[in-house]
Amino acid sequence: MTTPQPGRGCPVDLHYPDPQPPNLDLAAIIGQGRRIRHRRRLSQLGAVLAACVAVGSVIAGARGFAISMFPTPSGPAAAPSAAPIDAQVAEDPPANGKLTLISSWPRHWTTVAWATRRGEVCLATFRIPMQGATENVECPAWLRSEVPGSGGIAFSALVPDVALASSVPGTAWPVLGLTDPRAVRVVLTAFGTEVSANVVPVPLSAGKTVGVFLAWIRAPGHSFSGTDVTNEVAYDQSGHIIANASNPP
Amino acid sequence: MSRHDELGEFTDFVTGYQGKMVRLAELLTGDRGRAEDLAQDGFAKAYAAWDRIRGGDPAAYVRRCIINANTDWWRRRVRYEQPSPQVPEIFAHVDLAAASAARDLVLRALAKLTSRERAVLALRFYLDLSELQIARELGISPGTVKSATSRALAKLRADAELRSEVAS
Repeated sequence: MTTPQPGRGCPVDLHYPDPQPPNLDLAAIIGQGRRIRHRRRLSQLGAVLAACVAVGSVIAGARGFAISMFPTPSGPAAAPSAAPIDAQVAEDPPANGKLTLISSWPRHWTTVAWATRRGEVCLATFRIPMQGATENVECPAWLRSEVPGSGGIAFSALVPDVALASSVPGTAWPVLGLTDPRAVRVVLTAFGTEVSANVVPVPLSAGKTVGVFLAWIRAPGHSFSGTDVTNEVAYDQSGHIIANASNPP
Repeated sequence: MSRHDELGEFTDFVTGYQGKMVRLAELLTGDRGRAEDLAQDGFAKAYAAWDRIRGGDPAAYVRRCIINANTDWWRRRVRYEQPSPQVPEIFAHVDLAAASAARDLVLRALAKLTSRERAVLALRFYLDLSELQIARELGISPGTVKSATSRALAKLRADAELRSEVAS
């Protein structure tokens, strides 16, 4: 029992024994923290793109690629050549030993994804030849708890691709996400416009897969955040909706 | 620093501080469930800013997140806080087992204070921060810390329930 303390101290003992030791959900904390990071990065990207627009560096025609400019899902496995990516892959090798090509657009740029043995999903974007371009490695980009299929979730948080954004000046934002492995296509709605992206199956361990997509979101202004994507729909091979999420996190 | 090192370091930080942060939030809110939510949000914000804060005082960062979130919540809930001798309904659900009795008594007493008074007491007598540190964390003057502490202690000493607890 707390004994009120005499004198100038606190009359109650704030160090009372805890009948219920705290046990916070570390995976949820990290997932939530990562989503905050992603939102901040998107905002930073907004500032970069705004600066590009301000100095008149928008490439003619760049605005037209936002929808349906994606590779087929059956692309060959890409071979990363940049040393930092090699190092990252060596540290977190793919569970099945292969990287999966997600996109080879725009020209010279390659985006790959892989799942680690711990069930996390990583991604990397690089340019060949390098020519001083910034590469981007996110590993893990999504924790195991964020991978659809492991907890009833249909879509992961969206992850912006910083390197790819810098490759194409303009107001289109490259974002990657995970979805149900049965999906072949997703449609994202942002700013009242629908954007379609092909879904590429990426092998997880134990014969499972997860769908990875890269979508280019067009923002009417010069800022964009994950919350601007108000709807996500995943379609299977037959065109049936297999997942639908409004206001995803 | 690799992502694994970062995750390991952050995991150690959460493991080491979750007890203190949940307790701080519990002393502020009087509600264990909301305390864990506030602590979890605070740690998540710390993870988002880990690169920036890891070399400094990440615990202070989480404390500020918890205190600010609680203050924001409180502001949204009531325009002007009006401490009441009536114990909030939530305490009716507190476990009355022996292990919970001490906590129950403390939270009942703190519920009669203002949110600032609770924050000052928690930082001073639970986390052992100095008046200057408390002033910095709460964004108020040291004089205000001193007067809030004094008021809070006076209220607790005059608390009839606490006095009867002493008597029994």
